[in-house]
Amino acid sequence: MPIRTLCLSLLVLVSTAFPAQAFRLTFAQAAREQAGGTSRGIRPDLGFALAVLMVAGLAIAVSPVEGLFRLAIEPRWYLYAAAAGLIAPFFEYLIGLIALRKLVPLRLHERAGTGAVAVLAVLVAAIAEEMVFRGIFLPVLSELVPVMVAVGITSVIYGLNHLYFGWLAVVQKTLTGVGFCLLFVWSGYSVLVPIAAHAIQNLVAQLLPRRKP
Amino acid sequence: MIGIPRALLFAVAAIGLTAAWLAAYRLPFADPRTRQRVRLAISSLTGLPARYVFSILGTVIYLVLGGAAAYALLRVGRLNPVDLLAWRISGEGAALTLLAGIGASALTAFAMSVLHALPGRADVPTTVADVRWIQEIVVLPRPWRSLIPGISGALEEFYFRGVMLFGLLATGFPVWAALVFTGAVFTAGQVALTESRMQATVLAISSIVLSVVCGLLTVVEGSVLPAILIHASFAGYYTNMSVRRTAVAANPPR
Repeated sequence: MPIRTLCLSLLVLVSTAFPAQAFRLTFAQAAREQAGGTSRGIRPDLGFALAVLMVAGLAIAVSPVEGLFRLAIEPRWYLYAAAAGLIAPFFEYLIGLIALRKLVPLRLHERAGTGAVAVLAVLVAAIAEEMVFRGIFLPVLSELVPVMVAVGITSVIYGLNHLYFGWLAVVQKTLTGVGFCLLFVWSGYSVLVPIAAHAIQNLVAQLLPRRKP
Repeated sequence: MIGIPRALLFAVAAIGLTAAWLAAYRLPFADPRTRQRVRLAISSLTGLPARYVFSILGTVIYLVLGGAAAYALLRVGRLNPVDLLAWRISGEGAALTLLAGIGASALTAFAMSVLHALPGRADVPTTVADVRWIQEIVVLPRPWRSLIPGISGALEEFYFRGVMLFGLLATGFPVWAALVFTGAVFTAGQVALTESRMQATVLAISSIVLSVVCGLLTVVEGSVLPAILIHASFAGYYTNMSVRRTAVAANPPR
């Protein structure tokens, strides 16, 4: 691999590894101000998701990897994705139960809202996170290391992005991240498959009991 | 293949000039009594408020010494500064610069959140606000609080990722070795200006992040200018963020 391409790949990887961290404090502050009635503007939950989507867009524009986004033609992959998305929140409950020996509700973002905008926000967040981690990070990393090593690293990085929810959330998200990565790889690198799974996971999680940080 | 004598000469010159720059900036005013005497003397001579003296004097000394070190290293490496700054800007290059800037901010925020999550729960904003040169800068009026760290960051970037990195590459250093070398010297220099272990940890992390992101960006774009933009905005933003956080800590909302 030419040295410039290698440096570009590494730069894309380090720049997209923790997209949530760049905007988390800004939108958490906006959420507090909106809750206190001292500011108005775009809803923080939606704004955050759009900001991560912007990172994905920038990474797509500069990525050295060709053919990043493909469609899975076989419908069965979307059925698998739907099943994975339905199971994922309960799987995370199970991990919490095993780790803490009690049923722990899923942690809620401090910026999380309610209503139709909240639903839109979790859908956009699912699209943005999948485009960043499965759509860009994993294929770029796969050019440098074997694909299953890339799956492991991508999943740990995805898990660590949830550190502000605590170490339990890191473990939960790392393991669900492995599932999303495998869906992506086995479906022939179609990012729409993990997007479908992640979106369904987020929608199901909206209906389950959750707790504020 | 590395031309050993020239590469070695440049590397030794880079370390020596960096050490001389930082030592000449730091050592003459290391003693608090000397600082106070100089502060009062300059204030009474010029009429400048005493609290601004070291903000201005320190910045002038830092920039003049850094400029001199950069000039000397340019001569040693036989480099043209215009070549280092020339940037054939493209849409992709602009997007990459923006992405790298977000990435540097995100990596730093993540590293700080790990520090906070580990046993001991480091108070990063207070640690940053306690760094002496930041304390000296934040007393200045608003535009200067961003401009001075920005200008200092721009000079550091020109020196480390510009003159030093391109100089090493010109002498035949492999890219990875040149990136590690410049990053190590830059980080060691930043840590040398701290006064506690926690300050050293926080500054080392942010310096390593900038070294990696700005170093890679400089190699990809073939110019140090995008990295200068990132470092300058990074320094301006974080210095002011420490002011806001400290203000919030001192006056918590009721």
